[in-house]
This record gives sequence, C-alpha cells and structure tokens, in this order.
Amino acid sequence: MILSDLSVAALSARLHDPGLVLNTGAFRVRLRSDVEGVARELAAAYANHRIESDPAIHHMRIEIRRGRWRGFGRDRGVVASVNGQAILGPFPTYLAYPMLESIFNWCIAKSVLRFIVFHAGAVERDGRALILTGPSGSGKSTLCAGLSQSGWRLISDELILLRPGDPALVGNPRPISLKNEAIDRIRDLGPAAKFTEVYEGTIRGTISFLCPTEESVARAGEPAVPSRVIFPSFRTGSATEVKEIEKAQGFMRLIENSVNYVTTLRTGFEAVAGVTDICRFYELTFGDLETAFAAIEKIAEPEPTGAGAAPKPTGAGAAPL
Amino acid sequence: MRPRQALELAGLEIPAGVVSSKLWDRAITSNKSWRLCARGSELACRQWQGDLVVFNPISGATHLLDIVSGEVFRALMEGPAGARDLARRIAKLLEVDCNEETVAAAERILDNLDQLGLAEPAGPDAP
Repeated sequence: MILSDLSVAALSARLHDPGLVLNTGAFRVRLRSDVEGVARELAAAYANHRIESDPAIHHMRIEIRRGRWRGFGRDRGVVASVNGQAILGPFPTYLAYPMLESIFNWCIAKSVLRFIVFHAGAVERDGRALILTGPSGSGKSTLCAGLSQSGWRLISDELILLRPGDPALVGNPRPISLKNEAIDRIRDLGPAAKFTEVYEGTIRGTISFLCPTEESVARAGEPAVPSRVIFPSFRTGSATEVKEIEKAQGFMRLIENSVNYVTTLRTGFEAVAGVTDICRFYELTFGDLETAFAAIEKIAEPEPTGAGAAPKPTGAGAAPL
Repeated sequence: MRPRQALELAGLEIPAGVVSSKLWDRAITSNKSWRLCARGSELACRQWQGDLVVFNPISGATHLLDIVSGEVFRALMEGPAGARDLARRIAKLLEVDCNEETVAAAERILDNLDQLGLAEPAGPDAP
C-alpha cells in the first residue's frame, strides 16, 4: 500500500493511533501526530511512498504532538519527540511539518550507525549517480530538485547514505527542502513539480518541499553507483565555471561534508576511498540554473571508450598502500 | 660519542679545525632515526596522483600529504629512517642533488609528521 491509497482523514486517524510506518527506502519511520495539517502535508509530500502494515517494526519513532502550554499567543505550539524522548519545541503549530522533516534529518544524522552519512544530494541516470555536496546555501538542493525534474532519479537529498563495503549509494528519496527564490525557480521548470505548502518566517526564510517523483520512489531500492562528485557554489550574477579537482583533494572535501565520518574510523576511510577510486571531482560555480544544468550534463558524460579515448585527467592511479 | 664519530655516522664531511656547535647539532639531528607512531598494519592510506591520504588510527584523523611528504611517509612505512636517508629519497623523487637543503626539507617534514601524530623519533636517544 502506498500513502496516496489513504484519504487524508484516514491518514490523520492512523497518525493519531497506532501511528503510520512510512518506508522511505533506507528507513522505516513510525510517525505519530495529533496536529492538524500534518496528515495533509504527508499526503502531499510522500504520496508515492510505501506504508508498512506492522507498526512495531521501525528504525525510529517520531512524534509531533500539541504542546501543553500556550507559548505563541493562542497557539500552544508543537513538540517533537524521538523514540519517546522530547527533543525539540515548542514550535509554532504551522511549522509542524517542516519540524518533522528536520527531526527526521536529525535522526539520520545522529542516530544511524550503519551508514556513512554526507550532507549532500544525489541523483542517478543510466546507472551513474552524481553526488552534489557542500555547505548550506551552495545550491545543491536546488540543483538536485531541478535534475530530479528533468530525467534524473532522486537518490536522496540533504543527507546521502553510503554503506561500508559497497560503493553504491542507498536510496532514500524524501521531499527536497527548497528555500526562497529556489522555490519559484523549480516551479518554473514545469507543472510536474509538486510542492507542499509554502512556509514563511522560518529561520531559513521561506521554505517549501518538493515531492520526489513517482519513479524516484519506486526505484529507491536500485543501486546507484556514483561516478561524479560535484561541489556546487551558487553566486548571484556569476558565470558558470567548472573546474576538475584532484582525487585526493576531492576525498578531503567529501569527508568535510560527512556528518559522521570521524566516528566511522577506518571503515569510513575505506568506504570514502572506494568512492574516490571510481569518481571524478568537480567544482561548479554558477549564477543561474540553466547554464548550471548544462554544465552538469557535460560533467556527467561518460568517458569515451575504445581506441582514441582521451586519457582521464584524474583517472586511475589509486594506489592502496 | 665523539664529535668525529657522530659526523662520520651522519655522513657529513669533517671540516678542518674545530667542529662548530651548529654542525654538531645538525649531525645529531640528521642522524636521529624516525618511525611511524602507528603500526603499518593499522594504518590506512591511499595515493592518487602522487598525493597521499592517510588515516591515523591513533588519533582517528585523516591527513592529506603532498607528494614529498607522502614520499617521506611511505619511506617510514618501510622502516625507521633518519633525515639524511629520507633526504636522499626526496632528492631522487625530485631529481635533484641531495644536499643540506634537502636534509633541512626532510627535517621540516618529519617535524610536521610529528606534530600530526604520525611519526616520532626512534632509537636509543628517542624521548
């Protein structure tokens, strides 16, 4: 059963009790909420995601509950808890759904021990995945969102997952959080892009969530081996520039953007080295989406094979010692 | 150990007359043996286009070493070595003559590796 098989009313009732177990690809998260509006937003954002029948089997339990005291005028606010422990809030009630997404990210970043987690987004086409990573505001989510609306499959955004011993990225397509002008830029790409409500006045400005495409969700279990790592940098008015960087530099930049590399020790080192072996690394500076997408398409082109193939500028040569 | 013996061990030319204290210090330093802090089997490192990325199992930190520092590190993976021996490796890598400049470079690199917790003095005079 997928989430859109339930009416909003049925979804709301299930969120109250016993809770809804949502399968996002890598995780089963049990959600409970008594807050009006959460069911409607989940129905929009996770329409194509599978829901599990057994509420007892899950990786994490997130609850968004109404607060007990009036903290925002007449609004009692909402409080978030993870696995039974209150960890965030109260927040204004209208931010209940964005808070749920933030808590979900927090759970993945802080409590998941079986993956090496990167602050990044990833998309895949023809079996080749691109990793886009960098600090907040670098434009990675905007690029991921745009690519996911133009033939690329969304693997994951905000946090990507690498399983030790396997270079393939683990699919976990969830709604993409877009901020401010990026919302309209992605809306402009076409009517196929489906969004949640627009939330104004958050600490990150105006945000909205782009729903992952039906194909991205349906193919979440397919392996996606990365071939390119891109470090985007959005600068207003800047021309689009691409610069390939050396693998060792790319390795260091990649681990800088991991949220748990330091805790994974040698296992993490070997896993990131495995990705570095098979990837080429690029810095992408851009000021507009159109030329950025064109540059990414060029970056993503496979290396020519056979006679006359150009040598890889930063290709093979990895040497485990 | 007499100064003359130390200089001979360091492979330095013994100047006529009295040995200066500076030359004596250099002779002692250059002859000091260095080793890696972690056992080779515990280390993880990968080389791409000359640059070496090293995981230090003692600190849990990952370091990027340039081609020259990486050469010194790789030499120490083979076993303890002194700055003078390492200077010869650097000179061969860079295709230059081994002289006091390359010895000084090797010493600087060893000092950096020491600060990163990757290498330490070895031998009887080690702290």
